[in-house]
Amino acid sequence: MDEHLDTSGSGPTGSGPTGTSPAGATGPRWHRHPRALWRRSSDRVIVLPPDQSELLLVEGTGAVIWELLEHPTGEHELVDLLSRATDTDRSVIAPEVAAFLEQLAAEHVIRQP
Amino acid sequence: MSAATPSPQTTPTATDLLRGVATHGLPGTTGAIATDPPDDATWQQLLQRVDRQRLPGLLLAAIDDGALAVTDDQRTDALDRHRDAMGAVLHLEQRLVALTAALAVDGIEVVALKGSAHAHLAYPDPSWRTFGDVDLLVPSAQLEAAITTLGTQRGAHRQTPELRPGYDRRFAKSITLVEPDGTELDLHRTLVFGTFGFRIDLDELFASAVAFELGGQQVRALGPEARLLHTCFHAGLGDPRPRLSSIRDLAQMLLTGDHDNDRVIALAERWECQAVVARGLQLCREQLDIEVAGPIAERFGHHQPSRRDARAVEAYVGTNRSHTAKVLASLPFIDDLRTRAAFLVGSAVPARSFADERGTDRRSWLRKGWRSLPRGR
Repeated sequence: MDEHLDTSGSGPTGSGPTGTSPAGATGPRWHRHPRALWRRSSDRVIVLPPDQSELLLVEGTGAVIWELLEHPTGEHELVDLLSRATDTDRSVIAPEVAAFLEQLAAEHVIRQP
Repeated sequence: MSAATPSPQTTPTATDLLRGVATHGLPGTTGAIATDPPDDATWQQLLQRVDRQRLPGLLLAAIDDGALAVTDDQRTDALDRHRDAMGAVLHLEQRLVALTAALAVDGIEVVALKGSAHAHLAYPDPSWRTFGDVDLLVPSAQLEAAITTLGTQRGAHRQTPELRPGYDRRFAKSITLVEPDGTELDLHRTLVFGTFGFRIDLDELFASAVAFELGGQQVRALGPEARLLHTCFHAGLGDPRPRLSSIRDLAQMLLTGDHDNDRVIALAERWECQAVVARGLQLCREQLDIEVAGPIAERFGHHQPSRRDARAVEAYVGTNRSHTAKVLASLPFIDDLRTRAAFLVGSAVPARSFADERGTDRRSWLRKGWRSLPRGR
């Protein structure tokens, strides 16, 4: 396994979710690249990017995001969902989600519709 | 009066655990496999056998579902094995997508057999099923074109030369190609060598094919009825001691498949492979300890094979199994005399070019054939 992607590593903390994304603004929408091959492995996901030979291991909250990206989903929507699910302030989660999506996009395993 | 002695609480052996893993998730097998973690020696035995039987997906599923109690270290073992197995599977699927695309460019029909098709179409989660190679079915008339295409586009070459010119297109089960990185690929013409294979309508396999999505492509697989019978061939005739994963495939399909029972029965009767289905059911019973009920089991579970069919099955999995035994057992399945002669000669006496390339002489091939004939009958 060549690379681990995990949004939970820095341990988001906070007093609770506050607010939601601005009305009408969902941020960029993402979904899994159809050519990315993948398998669940317990609570992790193993992904083989298109035309690559190195595998990615997506763990923790990253695996949850991967499941959510089955259908096109806005970045703000992901932040809202994770904020509510983890009872964590959006402002804490948002940068981590953005960074994670950026990593996945750089690996060509997600793309914008 | 004496009280009955309670039976001692026995600790599950590696064999008990393996069988529990192999049947985990099947309808009617929801009970616990083990409520206490196995000791180290049993665990190591189980891991070895799980690898050999290609069951790391079911092992992890059994642990995650709480059916098999393990220690933290044992769970890590199972996770590591599964991660490695899934990594290998994903690379094979990447290859499958590339191979089918390469063949499609040249207008060659292709159907994926076993492996990835079973993982995606038979199981509730493809991560339950691991596999170790890529098997493709192409039409007989396009077999040579497929070999040429894969040679040109991917640098694949035949592992062994053709026995005789034209033999593969008429009689071979499959051709093994080797890609430049050493990976083998089986290019199938049919589902079983000789015998029952002569009764399979090969065109029908393509006409009834279904598709599943893989890597953004639609990959074709056998239709559910043909897939179930192919699974019977593979489990029932592929090896005298088939892997548990092959028998599990069959149990999975029989118990949860989307096939039409009446069509399976009709197809099995048309292919005259009732004895093979009966053997598959027997393997489920003996190796997995499960009794498969339903119309297919009712029809074939107690099938009494004809002498011809019993000899055919023996040729693959009996004590005298051999290539020659399969060839001889095939003759009653071939109605046309000229075809019978061509099959017999083609299978038993290779062309000079084959012998030269293999560095052997044709007489030694014949002698090998005589030696494998059953004695004392």
